[in-house]
Amino acid sequence: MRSLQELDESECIARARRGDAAAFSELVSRHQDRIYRFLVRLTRSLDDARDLTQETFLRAFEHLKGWRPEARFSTWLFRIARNQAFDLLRRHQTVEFVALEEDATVLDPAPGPDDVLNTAQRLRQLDAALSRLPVEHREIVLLREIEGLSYEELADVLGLNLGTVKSRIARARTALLGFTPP
Amino acid sequence: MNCPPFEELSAYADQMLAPAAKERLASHVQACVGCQAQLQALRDLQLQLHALPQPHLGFDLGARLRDQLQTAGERKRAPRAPTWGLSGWLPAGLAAAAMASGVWLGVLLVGGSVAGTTQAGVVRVFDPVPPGGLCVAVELCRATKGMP
Repeated sequence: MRSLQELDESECIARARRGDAAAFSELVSRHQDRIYRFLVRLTRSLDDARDLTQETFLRAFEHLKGWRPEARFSTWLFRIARNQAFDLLRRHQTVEFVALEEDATVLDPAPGPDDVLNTAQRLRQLDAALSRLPVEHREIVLLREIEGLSYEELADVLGLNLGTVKSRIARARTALLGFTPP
Repeated sequence: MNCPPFEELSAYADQMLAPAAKERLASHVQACVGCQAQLQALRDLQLQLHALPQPHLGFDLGARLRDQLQTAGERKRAPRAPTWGLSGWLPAGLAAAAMASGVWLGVLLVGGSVAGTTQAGVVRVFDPVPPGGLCVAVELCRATKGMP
């Protein structure tokens, strides 16, 4: 009999849907770091991110019957994680839900010099810039740039249409390029 | 072709444009230094975001949750408890007893049959209304009438 580590994701999910806790814990082990790092950067709190990661997986197990194979499992997890994080941020009132003008023209960021200063200071500045973004911009940048979600997946996780995904990612990038020194 | 809006360049950098639009934009970028610089800024941003330190949870959450998941999994699989068992009837019985005692206490307070008898007894000894006086409470007068 094959060990759980040898099973592919769909087999693990099928077993977990039948209530196999070991199969689901294998899925947790595979996805925990992606979910955690997304939540750390979204909430800016290691403790909150740790708790939310656990909550995300417990909720996923509880609602596993609701998962449809049309969506990637990781995308579904991101949606749960994101909703949990927004609930927490609302409760803590650390997030202001500003109306984003999705249809407004996106201003071109001033093109900077072509050198990439990949230093610790530069990365700290970028991290600080990320933290200053509105949370709706921050989440889309994280999911696109770091987690590599497609526009369709972003639309699914964030509950947006494709046009809005396209304009929001552009606005988030504009803001980020404006915050970071060249 | 004029310079495209930044939104288009951003989608182009993500390779999310339709083939025709992608081709049009590619030929423009080849000849436009400004758009080339913007595309480069987008690519640099992407590289820098990837270079950010990536936090790790630092322990195996799957292993840690296994017992909790096991219990939840068993609960999912377990057949529904029969409603005719003791555990099914016990809360209902307690609720009925509580309700009955509540009704009984309520009757005592508002002057039902039990309360009425007691109150009539009290009235018979301490009734301030002299015989032949006006009756201020019909129930009390009726009670005293029947008394020896």
